[in-house]
Amino acid sequence: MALIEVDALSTLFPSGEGDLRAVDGLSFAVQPGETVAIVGESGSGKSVTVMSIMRLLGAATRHEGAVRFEGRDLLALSEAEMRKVRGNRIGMIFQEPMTALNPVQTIGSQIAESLRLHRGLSRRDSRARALEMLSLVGIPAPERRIDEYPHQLSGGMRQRVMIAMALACDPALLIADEPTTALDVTVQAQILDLIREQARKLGAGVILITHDLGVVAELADRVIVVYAGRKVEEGTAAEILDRPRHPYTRGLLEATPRLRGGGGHRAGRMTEIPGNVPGLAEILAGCAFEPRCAHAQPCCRIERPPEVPVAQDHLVVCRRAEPVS
Amino acid sequence: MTTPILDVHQLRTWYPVRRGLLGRGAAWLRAVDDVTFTVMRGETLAIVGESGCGKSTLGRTILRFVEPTEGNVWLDGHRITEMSRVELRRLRRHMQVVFQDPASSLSPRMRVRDIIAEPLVNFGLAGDRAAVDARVADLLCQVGLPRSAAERYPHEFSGGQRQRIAIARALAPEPDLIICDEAVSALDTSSKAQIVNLLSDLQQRLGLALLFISHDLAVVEHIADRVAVMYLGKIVEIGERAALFEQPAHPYTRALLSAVLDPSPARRHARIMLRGEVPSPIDPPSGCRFRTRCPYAFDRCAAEEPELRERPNGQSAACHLDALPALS
Ligand SMILES: Nc1ncnc2c1ncn2[C@@H]1O[C@H](COP(=O)(O)OP(=O)(O)OP(=O)(O)O)[C@@H](O)[C@H]1O
Ligand SMILES: Nc1ncnc2c1ncn2[C@@H]1O[C@H](COP(=O)(O)OP(=O)(O)OP(=O)(O)O)[C@@H](O)[C@H]1O
Ligand SMILES: [Mg+2]
Ligand SMILES: [Mg+2]
Repeated sequence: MALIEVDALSTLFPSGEGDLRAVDGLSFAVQPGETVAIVGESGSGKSVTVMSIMRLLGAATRHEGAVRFEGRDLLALSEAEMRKVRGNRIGMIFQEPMTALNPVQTIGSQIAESLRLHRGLSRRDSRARALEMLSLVGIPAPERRIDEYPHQLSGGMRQRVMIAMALACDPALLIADEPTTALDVTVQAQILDLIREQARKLGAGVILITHDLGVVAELADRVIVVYAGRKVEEGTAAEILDRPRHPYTRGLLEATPRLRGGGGHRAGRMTEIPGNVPGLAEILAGCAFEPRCAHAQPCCRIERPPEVPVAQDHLVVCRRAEPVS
Repeated sequence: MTTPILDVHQLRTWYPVRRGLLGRGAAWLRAVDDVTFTVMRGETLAIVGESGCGKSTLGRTILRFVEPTEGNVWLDGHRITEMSRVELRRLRRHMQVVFQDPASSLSPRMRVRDIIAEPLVNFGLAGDRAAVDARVADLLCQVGLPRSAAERYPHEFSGGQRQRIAIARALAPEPDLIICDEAVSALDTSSKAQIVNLLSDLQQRLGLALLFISHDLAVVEHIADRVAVMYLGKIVEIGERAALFEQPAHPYTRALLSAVLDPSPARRHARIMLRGEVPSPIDPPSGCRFRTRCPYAFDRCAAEEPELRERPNGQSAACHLDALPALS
């Protein structure tokens, strides 16, 4: 059985221009021990999706659909029940560390507090576990750092503190929103190993949001490509990275900067996907990517494209995709 | 010879810290420890290195958000390290910054329009309201945000969109130098490309110089003219991009380059994993600071600190070895 099942989730922000639909009928599931990556350009609704799962968006936000986790619909839980899920059954690594860390509390006491609350650990045990977590995420000299405040840490250390906090309670589901953006490659490798270990040892599921397709290749079992709040492609990591079918996914892959190993030549221009993500107020009757798509046909603008299975474990939401025979 | 736009000379920034729980008296955390380099007009110097090696502190010290312990910084011949706050404020127009964590640098109660217009208004650069609005709209467009973004607040944007707002604000007064601290790390590959290309264009048009702090070596390879590699508060290697990427002269640079991930399976390669922990910047190792993790360390490395020496390829590296052993 799936660990979490997101079923036709929509997230709407009320505004003067009518409701803004940041997530638009998104469905996916994560199995125990599985790592599912969500990729897509900036503003495509990745963070809003996981903030909706965690129910962390303001009271004015409206949701449609369901999020089934451990037999319950998270969207229907009371705030009190939800508090027992957050930081306990579901751990979350936020995109911007400073918004998640309390600036006037030492990092050690922030981690320990959550352990006492959710795990009922004593003061002493929770501090010991906090120390262990800090060293697991590779914070040098953790016995000194544990009593420091967030502003005394470098950007990458703050991000690792948040990772330590998210993993401390051994969550059944880990949501990692851009967990390694502030980390250099060596530390990144260590963190990815740690997340992988969590999934393997405890059978935890992982929802991984990242712009870094190298990280996807390292860690993800399955990939969901989103555009304008909608799923455009889904498949195993190998399928998506090696045989991308949606024009948008191809664009994303081509835009990945790669090390070329010097090469003596003047740095060239980086590849971009022409055009921009549509604003949320734009009404898109057909395929959301149509305005930027080099392969679009007139019908793409009028009708929503169908989900086409193009291989085992690989589906594309595109009119131009050829189905498997 | 033209004067460099930025000249950093023997800069040190040490933070006072407690030494352990029971520690008496202050100790010093040597975040930046004797750093010297220049950036020419229109040039991009990238600063790379592990988390905690002092990159952000270096940037913040140049901006004088943090006071240096020692050393000097000149911007276009003006000594920043001697300036009063009033003089500094005037100079800010020429030196802008984009921070690592956009959420903490954008005022949550200001509309995007006012955030971007702030430097224009402060430095009297834009004229009347209509002119300011037009300039804001133009800047939003340049960073790939819709015009309608002007009327909204930062929290209504995604992480990457917020980063682009910060970039638009930095571009607004057409500065001579922008210090970019992980400015594009939070962006997706396509927006990253857009912004990097935009910065390159502005460089050619306006002679904009960049101090580009980043751990993303693939982006650095695209944007940098020269690269400085930092380790525990010191520059261990500095030189032309191509020389440094093709033939790193410092073992640390080589290890950094080998750790880059690549999405295509054919290009995944063996990584050199560094042994051991990053040593403490409070008690850095004697001699060469990298020696505790260096696969090639020998006796002399503990006894004597290597100076930055010029290599045949043109770059300078602080390593006692004249050439790195071939990779097996
Ligand atoms: N509170 C809000 N009110 C109105 N619109 C919002 C709000 N939060 C997010 N949005 C909009 O929803 C869309 C999706 O945002 P989201 O943060 O999910 O993007 P993302 O895919 O995580 O992008 P990034 O990679 O830049 O983090 C964006 O267009 C954003 O402007
Ligand atoms: N305000 C402060 N007080 C005390 N120590 C600090 C302060 N700011 C930074 N440090 C310490 O200085 C060292 C260098 O930090 P800095 O933020 O410059 O690193 P960085 O190279 O930018 O790392 P990252 O890549 O993780 O952002 C770290 O050990 C950090 O903990
Ligand atoms: Mg996001
Ligand atoms: Mg930093």
